[in-house]
Amino acid sequence: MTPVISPSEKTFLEELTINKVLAPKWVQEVAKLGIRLSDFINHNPSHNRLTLNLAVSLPSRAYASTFINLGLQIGHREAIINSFDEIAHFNRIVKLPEDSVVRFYETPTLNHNAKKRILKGLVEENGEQMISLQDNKKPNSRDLVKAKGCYRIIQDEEQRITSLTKIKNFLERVNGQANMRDAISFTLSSSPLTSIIGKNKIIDEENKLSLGHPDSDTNSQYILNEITRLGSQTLLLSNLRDETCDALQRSKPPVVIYESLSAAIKYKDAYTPDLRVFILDRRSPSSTDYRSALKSIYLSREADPAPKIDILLPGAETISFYSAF
Amino acid sequence: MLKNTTALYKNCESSRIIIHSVSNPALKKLCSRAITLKRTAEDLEIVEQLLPWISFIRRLLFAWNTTPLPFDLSKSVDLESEYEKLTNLWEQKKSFIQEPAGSQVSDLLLKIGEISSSDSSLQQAYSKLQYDPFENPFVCQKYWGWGIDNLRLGEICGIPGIKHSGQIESPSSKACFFGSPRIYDLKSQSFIWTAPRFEEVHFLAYEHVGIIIPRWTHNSINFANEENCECPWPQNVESNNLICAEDVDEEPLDIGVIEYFPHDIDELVKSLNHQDCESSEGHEVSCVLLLSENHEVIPIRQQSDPDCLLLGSRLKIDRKDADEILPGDIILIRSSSGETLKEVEMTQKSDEWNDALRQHKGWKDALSSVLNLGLVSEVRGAVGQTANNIRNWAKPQHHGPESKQTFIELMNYLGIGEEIESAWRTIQALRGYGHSLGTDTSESLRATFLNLDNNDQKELKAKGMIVKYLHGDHDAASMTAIIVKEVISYSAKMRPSLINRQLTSDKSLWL
Repeated sequence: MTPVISPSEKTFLEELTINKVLAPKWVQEVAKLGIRLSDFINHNPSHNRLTLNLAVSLPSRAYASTFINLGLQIGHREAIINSFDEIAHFNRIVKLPEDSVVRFYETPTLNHNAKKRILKGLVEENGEQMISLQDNKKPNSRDLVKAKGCYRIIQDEEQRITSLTKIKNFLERVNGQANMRDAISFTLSSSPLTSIIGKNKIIDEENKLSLGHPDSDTNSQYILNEITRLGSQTLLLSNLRDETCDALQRSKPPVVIYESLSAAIKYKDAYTPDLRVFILDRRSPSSTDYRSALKSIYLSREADPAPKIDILLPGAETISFYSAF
Repeated sequence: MLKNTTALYKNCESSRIIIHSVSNPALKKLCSRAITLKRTAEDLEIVEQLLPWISFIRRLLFAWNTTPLPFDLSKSVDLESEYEKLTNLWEQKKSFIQEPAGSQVSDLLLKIGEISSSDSSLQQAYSKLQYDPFENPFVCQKYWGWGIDNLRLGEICGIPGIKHSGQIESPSSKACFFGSPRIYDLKSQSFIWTAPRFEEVHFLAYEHVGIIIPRWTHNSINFANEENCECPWPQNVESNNLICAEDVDEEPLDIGVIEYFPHDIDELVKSLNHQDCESSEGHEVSCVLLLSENHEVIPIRQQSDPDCLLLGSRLKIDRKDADEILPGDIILIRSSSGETLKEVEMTQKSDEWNDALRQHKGWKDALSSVLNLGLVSEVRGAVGQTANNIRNWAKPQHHGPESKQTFIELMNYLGIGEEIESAWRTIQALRGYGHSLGTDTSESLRATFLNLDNNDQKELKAKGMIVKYLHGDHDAASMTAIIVKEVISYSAKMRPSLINRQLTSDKSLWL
């Protein structure tokens, strides 16, 4: 696979800090792998309707799927931004039952915590339809929100957004430029890109790392989760729950990352994504079994030659192949 | 956590392998003699007659060769008594054994006694290693027998802190592995050091068991080019410190004949259960083998999360990955499911069920009659299943054959082919009933374990296990809490029907 990492993406990763320390080389390489994979999703999502399978054998599974996913989100950012449809968001909010609890950002930059509001349906003013919100503490007050700007309203259970300015800074660094609208679209887009099947608790914890850049002050540090957005852009599916299959079928993420042998065995046949990533943790006692299971999948591969996707890291191995399912 | 992971990746860039090879001509000679004895016994076709002695010698050599430490028979009561027992038995039997095998066994038993009590070079080897301050000092190749776990082994050899591979906190700067590097390439053992998690990997091995680093093939996912795949990180032996070197003229021994000993799980299971395992070929599942304090082997499916009972101020049931179970953990397993048929008889009184159960008992009675006539081989021929399976179908607690085709063949053989469809529906219904009953029963039994009183807890700690029956009824389903004494091996292949069962090792011949 030809290098598809842009100079600004490369600089972004080289200057990335994690908990205020420059990200180690392995983090950069794993994230670069994700960016290269996103190129596959962006330009060649379905090669002859086949699934691209990539197995990555690493000294540890720790943070592997998290940083591959970060790379995927970085590489796929344009598609994520374009997938946010403000009118669809407006219609989705309008369709909520009256008196539903929603969250409302009072400032367009979403820089403060969202406040609780009660949805009071649609009102028309000067021929324009607007969403009416009521503050529970001030029953007589009303906030009227037009379709343009309705991104300030999110459903109560949706991911809390702390600051759009930080997301804008992030996009500026990886893009070279960005505006607030891009930041809003990137943040509120909710079509899942990746599904990670593994131990939710651990992956959730890994996504709490604080990211930044050498010149960024404490206020402009952001949490990894604000980029990967667990629950909306990234689905964490437990390998213990039956509803995992339903969730995959319903949300149809183009990328599925299997973190364990049991996840791969249980769910490989339940859903066919564009891209499967198998993470092999060589520390794990079952890695030999995982290797055997992979081999049997590899042996039933399709004849089409798959792109070679290397990871330039001592201790890492990759193999890629196409499968029909 | 991130720091640890960074350290692991750093280790890949610069990990060092250092071999400390120990020359021990006496032990090497013993190995050669054991191999010769086995070959002689095979030529004379008297392996069966010599099994207790051959098995003991191989077991002992395996332990010695993979754990190059002073190994004094007298320091292990179990080992010493087994040695004495076998030596006494040999005195009684030796006159009936053909030569030269007879004199070879006598010689070997004598040499084992001598080598065990002599000052070997092992102690010196260890004393050299002691100069290096090991932060996370030793990982011991595990072996079976004589109740010697790592703690006990530490007491015997005087080295504290020998750890089970699953207990190593990663990453650490140095680790030492006992035994030939090849041993760690067997089955899934390779994960222990190929992760890698150490800056320095030391091997302390006898020269005669081979000190060659295993090839990367079995760890690689480069399936396309398995013959010559290279390790994806610099993996060179930096130094080979020959300890107590003496002139060695011969090539290293082929230790294949002894090294597979604890890994041949199928043989072990076969001997444990006296069952024919051939029918399960290709259908085995990977499991973690646990050893209870009562020397029972419990296979736990690898991709499962068995219930573990946590004792302490508050009783708690946790679900733990089978791979993460460590010695000392208490696992809960369903030891008996009770009888679904009995339960159905008691609870389902409709005419439909009565007819179905009458018919169900009917074909079982017909099968029992045939078996009582000694016609099991004939049934085997008709249905192509093992005798054990066929005998099980006749028992009320078993529903019947797994596959419909087999059931059709059985019913046709019994001459009641016209009842196939309805009888098969009953089997399916009983299975479904049993499944939901099993779920409820497990829940109730788990609740029982959350209410263990002090006496029960004391009994569990003292005996290493405790059984609880549903509603205290000894004919009903039961669940057992078992303290894990040792995790025997990873990735063994086992028949699904043997999973989560206590398999007693008393009858094992330790092949």
